[in-house]
Amino acid sequence: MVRSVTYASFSDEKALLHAAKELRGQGISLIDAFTPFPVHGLDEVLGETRSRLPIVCFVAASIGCLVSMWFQIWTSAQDWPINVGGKPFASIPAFIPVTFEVTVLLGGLVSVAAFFFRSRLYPGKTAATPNRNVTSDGFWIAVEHQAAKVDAADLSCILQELGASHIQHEEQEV
Amino acid sequence: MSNLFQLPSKYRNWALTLVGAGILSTVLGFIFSPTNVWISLHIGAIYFLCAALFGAFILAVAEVSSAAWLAPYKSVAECMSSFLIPGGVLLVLSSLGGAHTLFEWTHAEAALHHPVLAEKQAYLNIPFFLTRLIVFLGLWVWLSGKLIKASRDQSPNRVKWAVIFLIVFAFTFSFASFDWIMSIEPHWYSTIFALYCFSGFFVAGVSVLTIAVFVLDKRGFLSGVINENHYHDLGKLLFGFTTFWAYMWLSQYLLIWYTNIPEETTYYLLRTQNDWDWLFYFNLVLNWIIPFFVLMPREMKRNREVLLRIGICLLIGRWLDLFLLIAPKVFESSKVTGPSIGWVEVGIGLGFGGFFVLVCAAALGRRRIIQKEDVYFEEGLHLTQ
Repeated sequence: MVRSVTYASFSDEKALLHAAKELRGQGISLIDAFTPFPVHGLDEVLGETRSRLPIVCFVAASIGCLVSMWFQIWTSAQDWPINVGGKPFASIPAFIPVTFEVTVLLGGLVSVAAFFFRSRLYPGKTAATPNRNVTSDGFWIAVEHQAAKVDAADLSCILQELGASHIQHEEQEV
Repeated sequence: MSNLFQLPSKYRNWALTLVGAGILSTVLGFIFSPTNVWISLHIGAIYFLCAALFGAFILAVAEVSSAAWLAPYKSVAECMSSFLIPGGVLLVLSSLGGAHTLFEWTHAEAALHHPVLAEKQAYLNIPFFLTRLIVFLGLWVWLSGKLIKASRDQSPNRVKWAVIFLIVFAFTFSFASFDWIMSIEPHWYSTIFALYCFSGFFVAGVSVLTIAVFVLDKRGFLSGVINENHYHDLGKLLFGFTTFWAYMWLSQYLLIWYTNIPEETTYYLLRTQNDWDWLFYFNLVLNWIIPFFVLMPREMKRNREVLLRIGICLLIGRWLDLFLLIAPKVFESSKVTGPSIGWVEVGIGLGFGGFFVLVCAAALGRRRIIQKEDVYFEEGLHLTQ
């Protein structure tokens, strides 16, 4: 299947946000936006639902916290008790730093892994970004004609009115 | 709605009643238990002086970092700092009047006969203590005044004053925490102590700011200016800095517990015996466990009703934290075992609160709450997360 996509670049993030809002107001939905830095409020304008990654992170971090605490108590108090400076075998304060580190480590690593899994990303994957321009320092949006229900010429007019400086049409294999 | 704030008479009467209750508790307390009164006065003065200082501090931080999030309600932070002078005067009174009750190093016989105190006499003596106290308060009042004026006029110097304020603050606040709190136990020392006090200062300051913004917003003085995105910022600050506080708490506790040196462990020994241990652990619950788990979901940080309750929880926690920093040693010196919290503590604490509200509300009434001329106002208005 071939789909036709229009890419348009804007001067800064404010112009991009404004254009995206206007397009949505006209019933034209965007495929994606490309910016050199994270832009506040862009997710809402693109109509993205909130990420569920925090839930994954919380569960993974909780597991890391409990498992590391259990493991330290098991090793130092149960399996092979060692007297360290006359402290109790299960000395919770001494375990807090390791527990904290494992909590953060597992939360972080599992979040990244879940993100890669969900986005079907892996090392060496061919980039899905078809237009190389969008990876530079510009503020770009991508609009699909079919979703927009307008033809390329009309879409160009609308985008130009919104202040787009570069407009490119592209046919993509999907 | 008129743009000038006036404390509704109902709240005004409440605040006046609290001040009256505070004065009554002080007077009656002097008859029944003067030790409790001096402790409470010292805590109250430090507590609200810190809240006032935080107003100027967060304004300076916002100016230095070109932050837009504070701009829509920066007048609230400005008004908090109007308590610097009353709070400073009360602190001078409490630490001078209560010097012999609070500070062991003011006892000449103890200072001369104990080698550690004799060594520290060059630093810990009443004239030098008082000089530092006055110099710190003077610097804070002067610099915060300059900063607020520069910020109000949008003068090009405002970042310069903010930088000077922050550098002076870093040094003076550290020495202030050594002087006013750590020197209550002059044999004991902790190098992380100033940071620990700073973390509590920050959390309590954001709590006061959040509650003040909530009340003004609810009464319509900030309508159209702030929305849940602004509350989200305050919620994130509360969430982050309560954890920072817990981090500082553990950093101090862990190292002292691990090394187990008698000079250092006395501090925690005192606080985990004779019924103090319940308060000691409850302090962690109030200041970290409750806010951490409540504020973790995004929706909680964006809900102003939740933030109000967490703010109140943290303000009670801050009082308990200061009580645990100051009271155990003073009670021990006065031969009182175990914690003693009663009507004196509650009355004086609420009295200070009422006085703080009256002073800040009066300061808020003298200025426009919404300052549209700030260069960051527009950006701060359209804050998104």
